[in-house]
Amino acid sequence: MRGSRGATFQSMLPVLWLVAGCAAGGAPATPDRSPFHFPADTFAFANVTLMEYEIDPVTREVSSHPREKPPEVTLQCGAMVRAARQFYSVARFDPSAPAADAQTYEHLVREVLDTDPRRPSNQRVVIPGYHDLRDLSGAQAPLVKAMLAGPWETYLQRGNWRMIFPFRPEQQERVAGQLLDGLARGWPPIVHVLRFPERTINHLVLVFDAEQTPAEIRFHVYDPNDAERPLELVFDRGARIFSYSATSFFPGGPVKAYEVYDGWLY
Amino acid sequence: MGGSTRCRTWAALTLLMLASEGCVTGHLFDAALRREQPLSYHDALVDGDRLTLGYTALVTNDAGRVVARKERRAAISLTALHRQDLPVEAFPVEHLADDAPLTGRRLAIGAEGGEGGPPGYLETEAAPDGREISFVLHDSSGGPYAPFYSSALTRTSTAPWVYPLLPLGVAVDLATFPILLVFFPVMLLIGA
Repeated sequence: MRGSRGATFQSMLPVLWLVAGCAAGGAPATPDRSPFHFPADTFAFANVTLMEYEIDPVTREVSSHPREKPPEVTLQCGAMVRAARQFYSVARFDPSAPAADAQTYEHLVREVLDTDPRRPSNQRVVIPGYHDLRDLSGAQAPLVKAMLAGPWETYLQRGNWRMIFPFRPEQQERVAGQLLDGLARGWPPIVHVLRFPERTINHLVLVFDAEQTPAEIRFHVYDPNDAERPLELVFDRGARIFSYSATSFFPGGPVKAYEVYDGWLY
Repeated sequence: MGGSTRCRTWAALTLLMLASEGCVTGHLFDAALRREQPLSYHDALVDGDRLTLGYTALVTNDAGRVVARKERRAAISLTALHRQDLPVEAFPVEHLADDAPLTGRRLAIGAEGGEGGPPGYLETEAAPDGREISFVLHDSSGGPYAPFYSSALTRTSTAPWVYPLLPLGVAVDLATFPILLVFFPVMLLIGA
């Protein structure tokens, strides 16, 4: 009997976690680092969708067809935002130091990508010869692209289990609060943006700044599919709903959002 | 023992499923969720400490698609409208019946003030898609007033078609929940 109750309680644990949502972690700030900056802390190249999308300007219906040539970097939004945050946390660029050879950069990039993506690290990896990640990933693009994890890392992102469950307005309100908390701690949150069960968007972005008004919170995000400009994830305080900017593949509009690469559950 | 244990197992499973909002049931509720936000204001009257509003609301589903338009009325406190620091979720709003009488001193909407102009008016601000997303009340008898954001008038409701589908949703959730309980730790183990 006792064992049966214990087993019931144990079986409830995952669900209790699930109901609690993304509990705020206790990750400390990155003290020796200025805030995440676009474009300096982002990649010089973009993740490209496997298909080419066309959005009807009137109906906003989206149609797609395969690209003539498969893109070099594709289905890697998760790998890119994860790596961008790892570089932000760990890498310290020294443009005054002489540039190193490709083998050295490969070793340094590997060191950065091997750190824990879920919390700030005390480890520091000094990267000589470049000002920032944008500079490095532009000059060493083939090397950096080759070292990023493939699409499997996005498909098998640990927090993907959460996407099939519904998101209620009050839960989305909690997510908005968690994103603000993360920014206040100096730890830019990574967010899964989706519309499940619709497949119009299923994407990972990195939140690096926020502007608050009485009506909404405008989160500025690094979208790995757009290397040119930051996009916006806007939380409507009244409707308690997120909406995402229009992109080349998404017409813009309401989305669900939750934080990933956050704690052992996500 | 067998019967009561089975009962308890089913009860625990049902509770777990309900606590997780159920995948199918929850998405049914999401699909039935309706949000109303003002599209345009057509009546504004000052009545004592209240500003009474008549407006056309857009009703959208959870994906943001417009499913209906409704004529709505609401009242907001002028005292609250003096405050600059109130986020919309904390702004006190009284939703009135759709046929509630509109009484008080009528204000112009969207008009400019100035000499010979109306003593009070609502200066509205529209989004690029035409929705009036905020207004500022200009009134010689009071003020200055803080901007009022239309999203404070958001109403949510659930479309009634979802309720007959609930038994089916719960049944599917009960059948699939054990699979999810297995899938969940597997995803945690293999997930990056």
